[in-house]
Amino acid sequence: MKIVRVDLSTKKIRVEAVPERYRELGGRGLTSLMVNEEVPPGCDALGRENLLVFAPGFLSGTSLPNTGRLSVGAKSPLTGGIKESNAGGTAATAIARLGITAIVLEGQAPEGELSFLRIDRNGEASLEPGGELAGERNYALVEKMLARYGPKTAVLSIGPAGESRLPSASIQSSDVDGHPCRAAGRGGLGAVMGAKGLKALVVDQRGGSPDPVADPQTFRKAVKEVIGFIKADHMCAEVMPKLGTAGLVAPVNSMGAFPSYNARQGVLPGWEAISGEALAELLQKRGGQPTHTGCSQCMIHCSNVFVDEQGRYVTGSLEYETIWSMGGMTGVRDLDTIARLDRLCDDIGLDTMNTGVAVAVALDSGYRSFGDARAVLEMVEEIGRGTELGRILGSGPVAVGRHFGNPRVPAVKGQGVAAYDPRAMLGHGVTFATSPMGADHTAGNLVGAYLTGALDPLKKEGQVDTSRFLQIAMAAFDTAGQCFMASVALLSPEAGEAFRRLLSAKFGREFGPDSFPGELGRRVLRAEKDFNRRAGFSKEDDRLPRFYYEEPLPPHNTVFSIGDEELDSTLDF
Amino acid sequence: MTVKVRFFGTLGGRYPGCRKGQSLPVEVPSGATVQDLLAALKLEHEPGIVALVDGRVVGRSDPLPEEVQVTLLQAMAGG
Repeated sequence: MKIVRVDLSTKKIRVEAVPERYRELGGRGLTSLMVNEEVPPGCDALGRENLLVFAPGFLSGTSLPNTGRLSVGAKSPLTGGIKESNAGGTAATAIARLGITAIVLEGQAPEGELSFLRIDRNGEASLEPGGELAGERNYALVEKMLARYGPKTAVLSIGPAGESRLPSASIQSSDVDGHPCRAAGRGGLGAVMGAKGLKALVVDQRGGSPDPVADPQTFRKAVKEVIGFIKADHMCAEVMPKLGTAGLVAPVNSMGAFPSYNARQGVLPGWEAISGEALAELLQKRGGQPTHTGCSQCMIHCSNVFVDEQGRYVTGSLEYETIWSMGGMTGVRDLDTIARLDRLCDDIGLDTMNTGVAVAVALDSGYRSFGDARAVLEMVEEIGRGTELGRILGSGPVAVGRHFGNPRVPAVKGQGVAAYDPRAMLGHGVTFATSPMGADHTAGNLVGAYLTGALDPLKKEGQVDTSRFLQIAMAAFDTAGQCFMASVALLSPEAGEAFRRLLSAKFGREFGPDSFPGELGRRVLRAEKDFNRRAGFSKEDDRLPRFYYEEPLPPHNTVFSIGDEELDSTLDF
Repeated sequence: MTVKVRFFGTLGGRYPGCRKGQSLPVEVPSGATVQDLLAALKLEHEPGIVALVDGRVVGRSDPLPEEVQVTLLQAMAGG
């Protein structure tokens, strides 16, 4: 296995064997350990000293399904801390099957120079001039790349937001249909890519030399066992294929925790119109796809294809978090508008979550009215056009709050929150506050524990312990490249045993009960916390905005009540 | 007594007219529990069923008050 290092300053590409200190790592574990070791914590995130690391999980490219996840890591221009942003699509499998453990962008191209990185079916990397692609939006860009290199091509790309180095800029990832609708959205890593002068990473999907498995026969047997646990999981087998993550609109509203109107209410009146159930029915009626395979190696099919009234493609993979940020937070209760906003963000190259929260803060400041669909569409278009307001919106919710003098900014460490209000789901507040990533929807998501009745979302007991357990587990599964949905099915002791048998067969050594996810997850989180500490973060950064402690959230009319000492104990290892 | 039930997840499709959360009136004996309601709907063996009353998850042995509205859906994890 090898690491491909691309220096944008010198245009030199060098290939090195994976050093001992990075062995048995992939995904988030590799990006975070590498960033912690090789990036000066105090550096300018948009400068030459930052790295941008692309790493498939250490199981990506193997025969284990649901391992098509890619980690992208760097110092974040949004949070100022370490960032791992995770994307589905086709790139992770493509990179892994070329025998590449990571692609590392170093240095910085001269101002105004743009190129793209091509990796052919032999795993050979070359930098190609990309000046003619300047300003291109993602859909047109990917279409050009597929026309030039063929349909068996995975594309990671930035749009105008990334080129403009906006802190909400995403890196889009093409799905199995060649649409750039999957995203490494969080943390503004598209801006890092833009600052390096790289427009796209174009990878041949026909590689045939993945990282070898130490014991192929035992591995195959363990893969079957793990597949059995995923098939037996009701969410993976029944709910996700039929409703996708949008199926969460109903339960989270029903529990009064759906942050609406810039987190002023916990239920969006009329949420049924933008629910997963309504989405599935609409797509069935129009000839869209409520069930769709978006990522390589997927057996869950939680993706969808949204079409308009004429049956024309609008966007793919319309997710719960986007429906919330562009619907709940803005008060827009129209799936067609939300789908257009999703398409716009994917095309411009923007994190839908951070953008929706930024727009909501502007609406809350009186710039326009909540529920004004046309105004919200215009605001996101302004980001694409790079107007003055557009640049403020594209800089994220904190910048918008500062601009309008509005202190009600639902963000932690500069990153907009996710679709679970900490006042009605206390454990999410613990994760938002303490995750080294800032407020995050996958770092330690407790909604499953609430719905199964394992934990009461309004009582303090168990919130810190559960957040800690899930944060550690997700750090480990993100390192493996395992999709979040499948990971949830593997959290039981029996499934964990099967997964460790698979790891033992992969690496040719025994994985004991605490080795995965515990030991690995803690190692990753320790590295992330270490980077943030050296970048100047303190305990005071592990807190929620004041309004969560002071302003009761209807309908439960509760506030966030986990104390600072308890928060500080969450990742105290 | 009559319990009004709203179905979400993939449950609504099983009850005509209830796909998008429209209420279905269900007759259960006075003092019935959540489990009794699920049995009346033939959902007692369905995996992952969650019952909510007034925005709170309720247990299978919890009694149902008169005139209550119950939301039934399926457990999911977030992300």
